[in-house]
Amino acid sequence: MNDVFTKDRPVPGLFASGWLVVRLFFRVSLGRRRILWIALAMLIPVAMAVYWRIAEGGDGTAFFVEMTVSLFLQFFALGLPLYLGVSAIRDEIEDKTIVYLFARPLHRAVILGGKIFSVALVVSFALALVLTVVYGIVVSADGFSELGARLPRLLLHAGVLAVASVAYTALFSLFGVLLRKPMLLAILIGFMWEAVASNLPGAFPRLTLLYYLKSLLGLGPEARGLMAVLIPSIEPAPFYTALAVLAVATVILFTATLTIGSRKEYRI
Amino acid sequence: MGYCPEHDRFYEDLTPLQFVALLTRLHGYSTEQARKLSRQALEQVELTQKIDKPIRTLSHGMRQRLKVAQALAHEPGWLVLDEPLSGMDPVGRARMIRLFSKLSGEGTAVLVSSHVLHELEAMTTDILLLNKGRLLAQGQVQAIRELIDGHPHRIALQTDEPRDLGRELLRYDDVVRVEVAGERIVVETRSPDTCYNRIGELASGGDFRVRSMVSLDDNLEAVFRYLVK
Repeated sequence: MNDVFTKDRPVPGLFASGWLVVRLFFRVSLGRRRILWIALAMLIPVAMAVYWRIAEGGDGTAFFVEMTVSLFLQFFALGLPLYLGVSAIRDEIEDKTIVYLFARPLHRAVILGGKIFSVALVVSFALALVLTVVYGIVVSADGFSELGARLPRLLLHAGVLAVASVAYTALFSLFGVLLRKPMLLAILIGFMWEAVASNLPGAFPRLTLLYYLKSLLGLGPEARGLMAVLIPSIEPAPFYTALAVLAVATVILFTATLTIGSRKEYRI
Repeated sequence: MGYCPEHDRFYEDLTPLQFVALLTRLHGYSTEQARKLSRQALEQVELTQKIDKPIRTLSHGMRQRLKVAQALAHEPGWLVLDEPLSGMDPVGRARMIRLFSKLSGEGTAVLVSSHVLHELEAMTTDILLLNKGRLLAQGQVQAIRELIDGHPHRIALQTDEPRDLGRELLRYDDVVRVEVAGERIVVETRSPDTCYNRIGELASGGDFRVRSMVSLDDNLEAVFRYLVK
């Protein structure tokens, strides 16, 4: 029997395996249809920015902050990880193509981790790209010199969106490995609990990721207009506290996804 | 290890060559090595046409061969095949059976799982019978047949006088049951050899005209059926 085993090759390393899974995701799982949907969705904030610039004008920075919170953070940073994070794993299980990967000499955690990383990468990149375009359109309304001067704000907002992408991808991927039909619960958690509870009075906002993400932007209850509706009615958490809570939550969700997903017996 | 799943599912937009090469790369081969091994595997399963067309354009038999190709491209020491002949035409089945025998002869351990048990009989005499994760029997077909000697053995007969022959056979203690359907009767006996001899004597003595006599329990399906009862 020993001869049988001499044919086996050493398995590829952790990062090499992970990178191959990421490439497989971009080659196979992402797909033209999904890219098209994401691209179409991403045209919405660009179109809104163009419309605002032509029809309204005014304080570009204020509008940029409103766009970041109302559209990017509460909609896209939730919706894209939900759409891609749930399906990245669940679709392969439902399609039964996951067996081709599970039959390779890779730890399941590497396969799941590679997919989660890929989703977070795609969402972060798409949001950062469109946010930069929107920034260019609306902030230049205050004069082109403002583009450079307010660059730290763009970087802060892009960073918050990247943190949101990673955290929500970890959350929705967990649903993908835990549940056979995860989409409904993911939508309820994403667009009901996160969006509504983060704006409720009392301690409710502290039980949402969105509260800490908004805290990173330093927006407090004194906000006016649209922001008064979108910003929690309680004081924002200190920046580093919010960052630490988000980091811990992401690590817990990510670890839970990998641990449960690696040990689970899938009905394929 | 190489694994060929039962399900007819693929990354449909990839070509067969891309599909096999991508999965082979996960075994630590470079892109070039993976493509070379993938071409070899596709040639082994005689899937040389349409290797640059999307998988969704392949016929069922081609898709089945593609599953086998991805399982053996990285030259595994173990090959686990789940219903590998499903959906193949007779020529394709014969080719695949030859390929599995060749691989086995070259030192690859080949494990085939099938519910179409006569296909297994064409590939091997060594079998494991499993039911719901439980090992029911293990060994050669003949040895397994001996394990079930206590179970009734079924013999199907075609005769002009099914009711009379059935009534005659029921007189003997080893005959458990007789079913009559038109000119066909199925006899269940605890002593097949004795029963075969008796039917032969009744036919040669001119008492009954028996046009055909077939054992219904000569294949693995029957063994399995008995063992899971």
